Amino acid sequence: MVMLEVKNLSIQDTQSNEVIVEDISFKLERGRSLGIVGESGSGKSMTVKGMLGLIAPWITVSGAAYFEDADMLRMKTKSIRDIRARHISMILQDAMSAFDSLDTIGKQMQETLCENLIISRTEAKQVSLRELERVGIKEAAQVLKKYPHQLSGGMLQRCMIAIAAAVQPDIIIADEPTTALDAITQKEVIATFQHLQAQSGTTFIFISHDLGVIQQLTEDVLVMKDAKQVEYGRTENVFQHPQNEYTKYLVDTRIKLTRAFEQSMRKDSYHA
Amino acid sequence: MRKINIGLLSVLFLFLLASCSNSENDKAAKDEIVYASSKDIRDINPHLYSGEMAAQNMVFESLVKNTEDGVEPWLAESWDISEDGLEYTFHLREDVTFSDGEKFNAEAVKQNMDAIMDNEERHAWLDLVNLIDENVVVDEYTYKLVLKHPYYPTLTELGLTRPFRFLSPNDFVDGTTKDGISGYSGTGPWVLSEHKENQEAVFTANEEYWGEQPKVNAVRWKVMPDHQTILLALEKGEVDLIFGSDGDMIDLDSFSALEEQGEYVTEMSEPVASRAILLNSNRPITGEIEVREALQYAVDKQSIADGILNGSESVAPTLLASTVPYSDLGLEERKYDPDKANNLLDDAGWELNSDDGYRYKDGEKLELNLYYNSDNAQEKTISEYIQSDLREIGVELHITGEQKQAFLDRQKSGEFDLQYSLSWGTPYDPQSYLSSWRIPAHGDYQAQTGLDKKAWLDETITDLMIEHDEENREAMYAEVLSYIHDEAVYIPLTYSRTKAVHRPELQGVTFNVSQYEVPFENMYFDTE
Amino acid sequence: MKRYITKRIISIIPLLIGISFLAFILINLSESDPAEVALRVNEITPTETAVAEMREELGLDKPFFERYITWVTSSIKGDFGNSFVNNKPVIEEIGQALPATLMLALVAFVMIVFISVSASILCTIYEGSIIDRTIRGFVFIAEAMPGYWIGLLLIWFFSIKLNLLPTSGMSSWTSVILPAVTLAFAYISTYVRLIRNNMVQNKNENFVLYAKARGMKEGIILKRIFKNSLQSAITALGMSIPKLIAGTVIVENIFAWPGIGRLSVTAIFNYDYPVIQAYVFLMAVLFVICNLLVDIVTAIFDPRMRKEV
Repeated sequence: MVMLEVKNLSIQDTQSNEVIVEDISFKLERGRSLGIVGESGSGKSMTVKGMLGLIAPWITVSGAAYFEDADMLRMKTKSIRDIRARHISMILQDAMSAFDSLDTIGKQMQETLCENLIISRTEAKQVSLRELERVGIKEAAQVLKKYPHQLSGGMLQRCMIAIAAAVQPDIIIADEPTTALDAITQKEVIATFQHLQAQSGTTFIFISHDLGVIQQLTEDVLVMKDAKQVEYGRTENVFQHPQNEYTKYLVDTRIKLTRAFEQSMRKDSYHA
Repeated sequence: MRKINIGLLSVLFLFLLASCSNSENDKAAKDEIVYASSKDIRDINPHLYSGEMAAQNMVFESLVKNTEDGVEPWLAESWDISEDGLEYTFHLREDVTFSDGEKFNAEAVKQNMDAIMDNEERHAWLDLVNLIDENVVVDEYTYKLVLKHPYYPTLTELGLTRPFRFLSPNDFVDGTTKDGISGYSGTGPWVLSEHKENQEAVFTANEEYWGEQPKVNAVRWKVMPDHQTILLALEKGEVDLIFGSDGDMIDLDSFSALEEQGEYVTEMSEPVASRAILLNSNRPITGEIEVREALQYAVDKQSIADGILNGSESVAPTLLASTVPYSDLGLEERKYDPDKANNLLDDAGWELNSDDGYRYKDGEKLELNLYYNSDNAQEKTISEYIQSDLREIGVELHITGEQKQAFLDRQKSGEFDLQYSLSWGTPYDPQSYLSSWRIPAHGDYQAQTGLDKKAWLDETITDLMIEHDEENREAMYAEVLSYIHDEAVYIPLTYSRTKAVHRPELQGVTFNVSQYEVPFENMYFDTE
Repeated sequence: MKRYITKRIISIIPLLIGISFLAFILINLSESDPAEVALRVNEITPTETAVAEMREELGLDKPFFERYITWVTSSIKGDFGNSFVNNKPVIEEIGQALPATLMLALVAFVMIVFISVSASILCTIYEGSIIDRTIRGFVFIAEAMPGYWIGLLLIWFFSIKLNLLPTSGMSSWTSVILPAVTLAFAYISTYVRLIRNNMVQNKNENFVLYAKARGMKEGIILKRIFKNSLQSAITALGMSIPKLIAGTVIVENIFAWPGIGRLSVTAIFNYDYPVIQAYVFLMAVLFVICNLLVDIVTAIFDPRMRKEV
């Protein structure tokens, strides 16, 4: 079943007249995670942000993005906010700066949950603890009391994942979830995602320039270069038999690196 | 969003409240004169100098009063002076009480005079104090003052605003007044009823007053340090009267503007004090009488009077106005005459150098220094005028503004060529002014030191103070003043006047002989 | 936290000692002889004997350090000597005038905070719009206008033209409004710019994006932006409190407000050293203490600052 359908999405910066994203189209089917891959600056993040209305006022988005038959690009602020709150959760890059440094993680989590799930504070605390444990954080109660600057990037990333999962959304979008992390932590985070994919009914979109990550986690992939969509199809196919020149190039250069990675991954897959 | 709405509402509410409370102000003013001053009344101990003189004058009175027609009876109904001029016997009024109920009599007078003498050194500036020998109570209402030698200004000095005024002996502390007093009970038409330091003071009419009751019930002395604020308050009607001399309360531009506007009444008194430039006879260049004389003709006094003083002061032909006692001598005025000035300098050997336009003699340039008090903007402007006048005749004048303290130090040391001199004003002129010429700490003394007959000058001044015979005294004054005039030590500029501005409803605004007193008791509101 | 506070408190003691020393030295730096000045102020002719007597009375004949120690010890007890002008205890003079200034400073402070915060938030919400530009333009002009002029202008408009408020003095509770506004004017522009610019900058921070991505309401996000923009403003605001208290001279003069601003200026013009010394010392102490308080408040407020512990 199609959860999200994007048609001819284009994004332009009206101040500089730069075309950020040009004519992107894809479908997200339930249970089939999508990866969006490309170099930095190819427009991957912006595509998704544009879809959800998380862009500056002078950036225009054209085309259409249907979620449950409603075009998100034409929605009112309140409606799109509702979608962001309960249906499509997004996990941002750079976990270290994603939280407000003046409040504890616990407070910020609780605030989000109370708002979005309409539950009491005590209930929110319970949910927070549960979700943090689910993403593999031991001593969750301690973590809740900490301030963002007291936690590592990996920890914060997991917290963001926990928050995203807690609202039990239809879709979770993870923007460069492993980029700012070291190799070991990357492995752990990927495991977490795999765990979530198996357990919940959520469909994922992963944005990354790391082909290895995409290969691990997605069924379909969209390749972007310079604001355009250059290839789109099933992950296996695209990576093993790339049609596009650019895709070939990406695959070739990266495959060597990810081989070692794959090997270490196969050694210990996720624990149920 | 809500925050802003609440904010706006509360501001509006405040305004409404405020406008309610203001309408009450109008009613209270009619029986109370609101007077604005830039200074607080401070401590109005009549025997000390820390309070405002105008306030002291409202509460405390003296034996005699100085008026335009001379010395008049006040707390003393009449007096006799002994042949030798050493004894003054005063017959006091019998119907006077202090505001605390204590009777005013010879005993009270003696106690006050003794208390004043107890602090003799503090009053040394006033010659009379140094001459008092004895205070005698002759009987209940007769008091005798005995002097060490005759002193003609005795009565005048007894009538000054301070220190010879009377306080109820009950307010003395440890039998004296010099270290402070416990109350302000005087015999005057006003009683100090309220004093909020640095804010305001309220004087109410003395109901037991022996003389004519003041026409209004109270005077509210409000302290407003900024002159602009005073004017705004006057415009709003919060203030009824502004009084002041020498630009103290109102600057002259505002005064003229108010005059023209016609909404307020502006008044000016008779000439009060003399504004002059001192020429130092003890310095190399100004020591030459020819130079001094030339300078006399070089200054355009009319421009100063018109341009800077906005015509509020009249040009002074001589150092002391002819209305000042002993000063109507018909001395020749030296009018503005730059040609004559130039000639005098030429004759004295000061040659004009065509290159820079200044005069030189034996290689020395004719340059002089004028110092003024940097706090006084008027003095600065006057200095600039004089500077340009002198440039016309080839004299370079350096003008320097100095802090008050430094300015006073310079007066003492005599390190100046030209300096400002303001006479003491009536009724201190001429006797106190001339008396001060004998004191080395004063600029006048320093400037006169270079004169040939300085010693004689000082002696004559001393002599005329004790001269008993009126005719002789007149002659001695004439000699002294003529000598000073001939020696051209002073360039008389203008005569200052006391100014007042008030609302038209306030009537009876007059001036006392002393610029430091404000005769509130004569004022009233025209309730038309 | 407690350790941090204690450490800071201890660190200001040498500073206070230094200040007391400087304040005391003042009297010795000027060229005029304090004894002579004391006489002059009361218009007593400074004869040799009078000056000598005064020197003894003021204790000026004793060696420097002895005088310093005497001054410090009596100052701690609150005895700053007597004013040259009216011989009343300095502490009494200051004590009388201080409440008026404190009230004025407090009202002005409240106005500053209220108006700056409201204006900044408005500007941020409507960033780039006419509201934003008008407020900033107005604030810019306000900064350029000298306090003296603003004061007189306000009196003319609100007191005379509209007859809503008294022109000057401390007569009714409404009299504090105009002087407080005049005083506040100069500071408001600084804070509006500071807070608004910080907020606008913070709007583009990652945490704001993430909050939006989580579907948080505008109001909550604004609150967070605001709190994050306050750090520098709090420091500046904290230091403006002593400035407000010490620097009210012009306003107090125009509005005939009987506070310590006027007192200090009168003292300076009269060379009233005991008052000047006490004033300098007390104001310096006030600055130091406010500085300390600001540091502590910042630490309480921003958890990242507490790392020192």
